[in-house]
Amino acid sequence: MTDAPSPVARRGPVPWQVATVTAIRPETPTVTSFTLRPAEWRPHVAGQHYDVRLTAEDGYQAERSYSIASAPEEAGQIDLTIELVPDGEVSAYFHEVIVPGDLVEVRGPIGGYFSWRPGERPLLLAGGGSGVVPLMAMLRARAAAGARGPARLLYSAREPDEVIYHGELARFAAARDGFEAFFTLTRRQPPGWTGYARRIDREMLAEVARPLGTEPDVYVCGPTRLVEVVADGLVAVGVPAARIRTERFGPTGT
Amino acid sequence: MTGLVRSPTRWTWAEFRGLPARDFTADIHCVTRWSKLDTRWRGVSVDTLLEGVELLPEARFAIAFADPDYTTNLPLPDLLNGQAFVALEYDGAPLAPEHGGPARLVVPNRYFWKSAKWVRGITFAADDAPGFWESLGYHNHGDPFREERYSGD
Amino acid sequence: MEHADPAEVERPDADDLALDGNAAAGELESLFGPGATVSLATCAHCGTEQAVARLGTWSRGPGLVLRCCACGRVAIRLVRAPTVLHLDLNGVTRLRIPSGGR
Repeated sequence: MTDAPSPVARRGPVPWQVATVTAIRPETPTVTSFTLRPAEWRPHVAGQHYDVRLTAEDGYQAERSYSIASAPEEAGQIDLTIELVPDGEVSAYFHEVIVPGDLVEVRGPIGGYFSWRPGERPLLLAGGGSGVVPLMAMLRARAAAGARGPARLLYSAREPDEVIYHGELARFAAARDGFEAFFTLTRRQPPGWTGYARRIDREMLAEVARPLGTEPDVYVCGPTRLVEVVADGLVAVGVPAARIRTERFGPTGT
Repeated sequence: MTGLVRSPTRWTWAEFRGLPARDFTADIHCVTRWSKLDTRWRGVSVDTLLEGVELLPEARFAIAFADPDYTTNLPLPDLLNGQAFVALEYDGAPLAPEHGGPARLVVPNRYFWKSAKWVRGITFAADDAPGFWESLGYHNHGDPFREERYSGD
Repeated sequence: MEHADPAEVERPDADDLALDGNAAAGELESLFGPGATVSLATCAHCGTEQAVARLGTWSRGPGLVLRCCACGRVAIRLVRAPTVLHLDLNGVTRLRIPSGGR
């Protein structure tokens, strides 16, 4: 599976810098979005991430990467949507300690591979759990750019209240600009549910991908197993491997 | 157990679970972080594993290995007399994969990279052989009490 | 993430714990520039060429380890000691790094 290295925008080195937390917004019982203003913000490309580093009083450092959730049109600030992970040092600090006004060390934007610039090519996004975060940045960038090419999101979550950005996704779908959202709830569905109710499989991928034609741009993000099932499944239903870009979030999200 | 032993010894998973195990409490020291005190484990002492194994007199070093290519090296004396065990449980529960389960070597008196996760066996050798991290900037001996973190410390 | 069928759960693979080269982008871009994760690495063991972003990545241990996505052997290792950066590229025979420019 090879693709030619794509050109990358030239820019200077990306140093560690200080960012101020300016807003905190719960999304689900275990997921919260944090707005940060880096001292030296620079515009990102949807799909990129920031590294965040926390330093304890004794000098111990913990570092994690978090995908940018916001579109680059929001100048001067970024949103990071962070899932509280069991035994997660950094996510626990964000969820339980940080308040607006606090400072954190960040480095970014980073990541030339898993990034998307708005265009008219058909777009297929597939994500599980907090893997939807960079995909949401892509959809927000798409909306801000007024793109109208066909785009579909297939989003896997276990239960209804684990679906992040539910309202905003519904609004995007209602805008009738070529975007459609598909959900699969694998463990519990609300009464009257008409969406998918099982783990992503080839049949589901074929149904969702088919109307996008033979060469959509594809971005897949989530736990390792989901990413592999989706990537392999899409290749099996005829999507060229070179068109698929993946990002693994690990077994329990970030 | 392979290398400089009278005859290589293997246990199947079932056989290994049948070996006498006991509880261990230890302070562990990760090279990139603080120490964790009084961690609770259950496993099989390396002394027990060596009971049926006759080491050849030239054996002076132990190289623990894990699939596919991880090794870490210790002088043989560091592994004996209750200083090392193969852990099967942590904090009362079966050792989770992210912590090296189902079985990992634990050598509390050395920085924790020497406690090889997912350990498959130990080879005994006459000569030292710097392992995966020891050959890339980490200290060959790794004694936390002498702060031997990086080569040259 | 999802609740697996009981029949399927034996021992979760250690491979499941790996992230990918995207997680190492911060470190790699500081060395190779913004094209680091789109760079194409040829595995020294099996010859597979893959984007660096697709290498299996373990970054919570004493250092950074990146493994070939096809054969699982080590491609790149990196340790940041206090005064020196140790970089082992023995697992890669060729690295094609795009230069900037649009």
